[in-house]
Amino acid sequence: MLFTRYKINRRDYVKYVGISALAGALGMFLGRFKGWRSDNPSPSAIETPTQIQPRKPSRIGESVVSIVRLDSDDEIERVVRKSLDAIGGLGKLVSPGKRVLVKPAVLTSDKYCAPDPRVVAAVVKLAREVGGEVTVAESSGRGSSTAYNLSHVGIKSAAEEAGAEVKSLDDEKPIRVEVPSSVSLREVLVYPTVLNSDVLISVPRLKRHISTTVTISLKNMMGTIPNSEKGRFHTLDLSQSIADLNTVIRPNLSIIDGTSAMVRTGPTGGDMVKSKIIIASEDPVAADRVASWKLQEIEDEVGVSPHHRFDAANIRHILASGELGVGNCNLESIRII
Amino acid sequence: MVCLKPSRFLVLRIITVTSISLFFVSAPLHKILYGTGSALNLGTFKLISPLDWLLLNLGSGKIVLDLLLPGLIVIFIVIMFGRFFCSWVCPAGIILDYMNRFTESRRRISGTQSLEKHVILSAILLAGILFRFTAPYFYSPPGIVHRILIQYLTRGIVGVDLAALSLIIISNGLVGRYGRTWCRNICPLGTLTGSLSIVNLFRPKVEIDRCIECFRCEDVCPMQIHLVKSDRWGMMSCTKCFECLEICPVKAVRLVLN
Amino acid sequence: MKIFSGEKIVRRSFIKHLVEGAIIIGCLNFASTAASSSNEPVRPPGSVEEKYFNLLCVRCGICLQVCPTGAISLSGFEYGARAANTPVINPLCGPCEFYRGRCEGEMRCSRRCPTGALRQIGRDEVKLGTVHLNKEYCLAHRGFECMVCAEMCPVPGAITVQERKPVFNKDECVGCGTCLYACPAEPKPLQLTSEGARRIKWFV
Repeated sequence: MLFTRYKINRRDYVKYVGISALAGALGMFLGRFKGWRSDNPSPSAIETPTQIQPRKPSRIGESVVSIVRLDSDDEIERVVRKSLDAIGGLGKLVSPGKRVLVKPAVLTSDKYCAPDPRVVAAVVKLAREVGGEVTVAESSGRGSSTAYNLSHVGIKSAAEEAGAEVKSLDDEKPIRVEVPSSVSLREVLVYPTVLNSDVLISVPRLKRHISTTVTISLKNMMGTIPNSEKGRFHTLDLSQSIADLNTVIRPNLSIIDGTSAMVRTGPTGGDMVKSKIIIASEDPVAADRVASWKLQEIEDEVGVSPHHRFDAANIRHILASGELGVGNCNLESIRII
Repeated sequence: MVCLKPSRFLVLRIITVTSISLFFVSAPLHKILYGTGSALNLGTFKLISPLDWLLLNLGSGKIVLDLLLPGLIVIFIVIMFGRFFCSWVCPAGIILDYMNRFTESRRRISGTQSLEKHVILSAILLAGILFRFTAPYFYSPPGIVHRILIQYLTRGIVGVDLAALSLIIISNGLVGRYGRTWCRNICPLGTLTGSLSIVNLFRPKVEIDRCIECFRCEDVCPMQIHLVKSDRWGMMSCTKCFECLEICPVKAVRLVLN
Repeated sequence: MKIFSGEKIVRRSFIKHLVEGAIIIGCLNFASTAASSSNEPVRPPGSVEEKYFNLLCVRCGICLQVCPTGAISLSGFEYGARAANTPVINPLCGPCEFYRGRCEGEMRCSRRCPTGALRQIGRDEVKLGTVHLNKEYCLAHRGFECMVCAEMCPVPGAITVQERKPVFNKDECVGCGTCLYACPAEPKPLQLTSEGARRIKWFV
């Protein structure tokens, strides 16, 4: 047969087989290595937990929320400026040289899910006017590419034109942070860009949500943690975990894009309604509370079927955040202008 | 153990093969040309290896029209230039050349013909026609190595191909005691390209007047061709490694264009 | 031809070679039917029917290289020897973003396939398979607040909600695997099978 023509030296044969077997074994062993393309790198976090002082609300007692109507999309910048001036202006929070992080809510590449790029651009422009160094960053939902989403939705070009640096948080190594006043989370992994910023501005879209009823400024903070953590929240008490997260990653300012709102269901697949408002506040809980109330009104006006309706006063993650001191969830302590 | 000093052609070949492999593997970065040793795609321009093309047409029982031209182009190149892929493109060939360094001093068996390779090739083609079984595992060694590299570097996984490569290397050691036994006696793709290299430009030829019959060229030839006889048909299995050119002490070996 | 006339081919050696050849063909026949399973793998979008796919695919690996999410990998022998080393969709490594995402305008794998095992078809004609839910492992069915599958599903109507639990609509599902990839439960309650997959009929 094939193999009877020559006799091979045993030493050489053993060498051959040994090398091939070693190559195979090495390949199997190294095969556990993920390779250089991965949407969700496993967070090899730095082990020492960091004590982060939760950002205290600047005014305890009464929170101010501004709601401004806009008649056409051309006046977006003017309306954003007006809504910020009504609560005291950006100059109060941002001084020259401060690092400002604008966090838009970009879950997927669906442009109705994300805030209007013109709103984000307006916020960037206003922050730069008072001297801030602006970064726009986000980490999209599990199973999509943040970089692609940011450019497909139009936020990347709009923000860069307005002078901000746009980055996807997924490329960074997250840091473990302790959550001191927590109920369900004891520690959480957060991306360093978020922790290193001086001013955090949350820019969400006014939307319903399938699990947490609404997703506005508080839920938006889930985009500052890696995908594995996002998943972990769902295995704990989601609403409580959102509240706990906001005690350490509390936005200094929330500007809610209500130019169009998603009703009936969300964050994907709902119906878009031209609601034409911008809501702003330094208190994220108050902003969310007022925004949910407005969303309830919008659903009333549009005539969403009672089967899908919700009660704005009874949204778990907003109430839980209020209890933990992130802000005011009680309409009596909120002044609306 | 015979320790061979690497000739300059060997170095050149290693560089060429490594560059081509890296070029294929890094395709997602440069986006110019995608492919492996089995098939290439440059936008609308495609190329396909001859054995894969033949099996495709035989196995499906139809002539695949949009691959007709790519297959024929490669076959034309093989007819004109012979088995140069084996030395200048196939990474398995380089690996086997490296294995060459572990063999004992070879008994010269140059000139003896082996029919095994034709038997293997015919069996594969017949299996393709009869059972419609064309799974190309060992049929395309350059494809195997390129796939190993691509799968490992982009996904971090190893698959069937590593087992196939190991079997190639093991069978190379089992069957003979000279360099590229696989390439000479077993490789189906090599056999097919060898049988097709009819015109075979740039093949080495020994000038009888200058030859001193030291037979060093035949000793070093990985395909164990009877070079001194310089028979045209024996040269069909030449893989253009040019070792014979390097080693001849009187420079009696020259390249011939027909 | 020269090789036959220049040497003494004795009848015994000729028969020996014939027997060798027959043994090899027999082995190949055995291999071709060995471990052939009835379940079809989930193929990338635009694939021709399974019978011809295994013939047309030359295992060039181009689809694997161009896939932006890493959904495509080459199979082993689990689908039989005929289908070994062919591209399959593994949503645990990444979702197929042909419906929404990086491959939305054109499916890169189908565009680059050199032999035509994968062909370019319209987005709405593609169905890779169907996702099946195991209620035992689903977080929502166990009382947790989780609807990540419904949140991330790109196809309107494929996953609907009833009493805070996801309901999977087999007819609407396109088999992209986004829900599977996004699901945070461990072990995953979702599985992608080739049920209902639409394949292309192959003419020359």
